[in-house]
Amino acid sequence: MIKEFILTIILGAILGFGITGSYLVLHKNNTQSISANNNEISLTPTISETIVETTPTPTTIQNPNLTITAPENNTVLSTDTTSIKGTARNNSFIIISNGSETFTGQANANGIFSININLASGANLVKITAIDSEDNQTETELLLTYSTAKI
Amino acid sequence: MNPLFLILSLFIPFQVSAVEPTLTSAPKQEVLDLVTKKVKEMLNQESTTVSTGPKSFIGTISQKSDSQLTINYQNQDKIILVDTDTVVINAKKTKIKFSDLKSGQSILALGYLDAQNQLTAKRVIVTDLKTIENNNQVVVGTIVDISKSSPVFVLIPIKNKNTQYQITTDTKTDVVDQNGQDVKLSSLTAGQKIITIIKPDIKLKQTFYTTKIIVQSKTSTSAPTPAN
Repeated sequence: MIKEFILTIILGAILGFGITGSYLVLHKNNTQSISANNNEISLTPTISETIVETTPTPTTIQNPNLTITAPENNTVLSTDTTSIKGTARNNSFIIISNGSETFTGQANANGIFSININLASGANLVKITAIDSEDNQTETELLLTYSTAKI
Repeated sequence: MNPLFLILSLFIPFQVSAVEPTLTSAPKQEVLDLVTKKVKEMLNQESTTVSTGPKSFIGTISQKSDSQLTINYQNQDKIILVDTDTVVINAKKTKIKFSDLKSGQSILALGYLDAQNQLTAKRVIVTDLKTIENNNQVVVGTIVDISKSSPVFVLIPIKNKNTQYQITTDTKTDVVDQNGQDVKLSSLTAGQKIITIIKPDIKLKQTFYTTKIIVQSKTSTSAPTPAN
């Protein structure tokens, strides 16, 4: 009976050490796995940086006193008229020139304006000037192309 | 004591350790969800920032390879990608080969932007940039002198009184008041504050031609004196 008991203890100890060793090895691998996953999370900002680099330059023209919201710079239009929309200082006088014609309008009390203009066939360098009530002048330029060709 | 029972009791810790992997699977799923969410956000962000409509760019060819052009406009370079479908048209509106394009030529490129903000051109048109130039400028100023015998007046800008413009008019010059009502050109007088759209007069040096005058006031009480 005593022999059997001692034998059992020895076998148990061997098995115990084996199982404990296995547990430690497995636990170490799991820790590394979670650590690897944590690294994946920390990689996310790097991916974000890539997006920032690939994001096209904002085409909305912004000046402190004049912002063009539509159309975007470099836009190709299939019609020979378009509406220049934007914001300026409230009640600013807005003058738009396509090189051959001039169009005028005024921003409302909230500074919002929308002025229809004509476009010549092909590329148009459109200058937009805002003049506020204190005669401060702000100017910006858009390249708008009128083309009916299939692009 | 039954030795078999003792041996079996030693397996209890093993069962506990076997539960461990299932506990770690939850954080893994969280990480997967987080990565999926981030990727979706990135894709959404990209789809909102990449313009969908056709775009155009002008410039002078500074570099050329088999598949792309580098054009320069206002000291900024732009890469224009071309493919086998790209149509190239010369100034006479005749189709030419891409290989016919040369450095120094000015072009208008029409196509679509990719995620790298590079234009893949569908059409490349040889263009004279001078025909596109917009030399118009807007000046807010006060008329300081106006000729009775010839269609010319002198304007001093409100914001730069050290400068003066000699401006010519003709029958095509559009003169209106602030409300857009027509005003006779002959009614302009010294002292009036105006907004005028001018461009260099091709006939007279140091003289500008005005296409439009918007009269801001009937007369100014403090008209600047013209510089001699």
